[in-house]
Amino acid sequence: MAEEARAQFAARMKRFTDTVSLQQPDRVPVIPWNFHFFPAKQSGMSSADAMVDHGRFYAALKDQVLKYEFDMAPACSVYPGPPWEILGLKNWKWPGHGLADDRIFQFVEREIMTAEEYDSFLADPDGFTARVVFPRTTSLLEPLGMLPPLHWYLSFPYLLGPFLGMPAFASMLDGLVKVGQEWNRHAAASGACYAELEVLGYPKSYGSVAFTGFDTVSLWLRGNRGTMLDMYRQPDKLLAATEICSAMQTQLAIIQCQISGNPRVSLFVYRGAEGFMSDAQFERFFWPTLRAQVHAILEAGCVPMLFLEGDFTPRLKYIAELPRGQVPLHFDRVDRAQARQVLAGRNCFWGNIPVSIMEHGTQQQVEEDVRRLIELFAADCGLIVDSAGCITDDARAENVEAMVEAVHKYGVR
Amino acid sequence: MLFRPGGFDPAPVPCYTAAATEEAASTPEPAGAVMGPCELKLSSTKGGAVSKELIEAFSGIREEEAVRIARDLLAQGSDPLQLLDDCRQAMRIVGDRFEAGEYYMPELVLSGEILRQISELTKPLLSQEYSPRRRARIVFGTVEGDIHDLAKDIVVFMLEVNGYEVIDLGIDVPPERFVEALREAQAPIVGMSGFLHLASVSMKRTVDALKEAGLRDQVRVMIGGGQIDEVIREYTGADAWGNNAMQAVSLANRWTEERGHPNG
Repeated sequence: MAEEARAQFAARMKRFTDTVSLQQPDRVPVIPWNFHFFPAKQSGMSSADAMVDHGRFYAALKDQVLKYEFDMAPACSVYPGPPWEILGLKNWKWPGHGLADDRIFQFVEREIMTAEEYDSFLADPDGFTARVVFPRTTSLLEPLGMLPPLHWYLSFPYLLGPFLGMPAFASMLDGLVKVGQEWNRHAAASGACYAELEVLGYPKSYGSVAFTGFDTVSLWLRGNRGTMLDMYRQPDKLLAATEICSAMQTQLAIIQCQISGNPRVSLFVYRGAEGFMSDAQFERFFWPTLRAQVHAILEAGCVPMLFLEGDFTPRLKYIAELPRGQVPLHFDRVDRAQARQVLAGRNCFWGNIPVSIMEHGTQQQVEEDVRRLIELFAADCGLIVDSAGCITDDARAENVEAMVEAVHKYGVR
Repeated sequence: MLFRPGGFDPAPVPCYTAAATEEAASTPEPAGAVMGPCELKLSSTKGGAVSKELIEAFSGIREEEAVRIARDLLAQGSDPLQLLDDCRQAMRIVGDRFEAGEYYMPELVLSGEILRQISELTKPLLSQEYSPRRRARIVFGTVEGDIHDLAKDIVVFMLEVNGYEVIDLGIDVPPERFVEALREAQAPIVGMSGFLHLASVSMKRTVDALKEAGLRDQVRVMIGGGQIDEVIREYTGADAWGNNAMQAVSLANRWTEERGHPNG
């Protein structure tokens, strides 16, 4: 049994690496990028429960992987609720915290860093994160806003006493201890699940997550509106922040790979999509740092996998510049004919089965779509089958089954 | 006080910096915040000369120049109503360029910002508020359970620039609120936006609520958002779908003309 599982693991990895490196695999792989609440829904759990009852949720996740025999175990994007609650996250809403139990968590985008604060951030990203960003994004860490510069006391740390003696600091520490405990509780459930799946022959889709430089500034610091204004009002500062965030995210991506032992990086790409900016703006503000990230991750021996949310048709010409056979590209929406033309002999195509079909379509529609994808991409580009985005929470189980079956029907060499 | 790296403060006082934007950080941005207040209060040219210079600077997204010209014109005694009329013309050009794929989201954000600043300048000089003639009313909102407003704000912006009076219900709008607003406004068109996958379910619930309220035959329903396509349109029972702002404008134009109210 163990030997068979090891062989399965090796076969699945080979299927993936053959596809990515543009060799012909024995069969087209079918790999959901990640899971949100689909496993919870399938097992009758509410979204609220899924964020708290980690053991039950990860058992449900494991069941789904085994049921469909995906070629990799999808990573998980269901976050643990208790640490969020203790931290008092201000820029998220989640079930039981601003949303009903059957809803999924949602990011509430805001301006966290003001237009005037670029210089402070650029001069000391870590200090700015601790003293400004964290107090603005969490209730628990508000006392950090009172933390004096540590270098004031490099000779006499005991002079931090007035800060350390504040009751607010003590209760923040109590909270942080609880965050750590909750983190460990979640990590134990998650780690055990993926370790077990690995023993059963399923590699995990990725072990590292990072954002692009521009998205980091836009999502987590300035907000979409802020970055759009900055493109005109202070482009140099926006570029400087984009560059520094890109470098920091790359470092984070590589470190996570080293810790997890999984070289695959999920590099989320959002605001480079069609509609957000012109080609000229993309060339100036988005692409140079994204391209640099891809190269740096490759140089570190890791695999940058781009998760392209939105319509990336207008950016295919840039994507074509990426190193050949090393950068799998997960598409949400894209003109398939143009993608095929651009990607043939370059990099493999992943995803793109419309969510609407997965949620509301028939099994025949899913089968037909998988067949079309295989015809278009499998021979010349390499193809990994998945829904656009991910297998969404409301995807119909029979349609997921149809997706997998179609791969076995049409995708075997 | 802000922590200034490299700069020493003599006294070891707390460097609490969060308060500055505390309110901003804990309060969701109001509907329309992405574009800024873009409603145009004026519709007709009011005596005085049209400023080509202002229109060009504004529509060319030269923010400082446009605001400077507006300030100078007002200082020279120009009619503020004429100035706002020029702004409206500039906004139309911005809309046209967006439609042509020449402008994108940053230009819409900036034009909203230019308009806000010029409107502020004219405010003390205006003795009365004018309500423009509109082509039709449209009730618009992001559906229940979804709190995304980026796409919605762009569509609302483009509809307003194209002469529609949009009643923007904001985000996370329950079906009964759509029904209530449609009744109050007697609007012939409703637009629903949604980014999340779950939005389709809320859209269907809203269309069902319109049926139950007996409004479905009097209202045309358009839907749009990241994952919306014909399959979703059919599932929800909407009349049409789109995935960009100009499709929303085209639909509104077509439906308004079919009702026999071209150009209000």
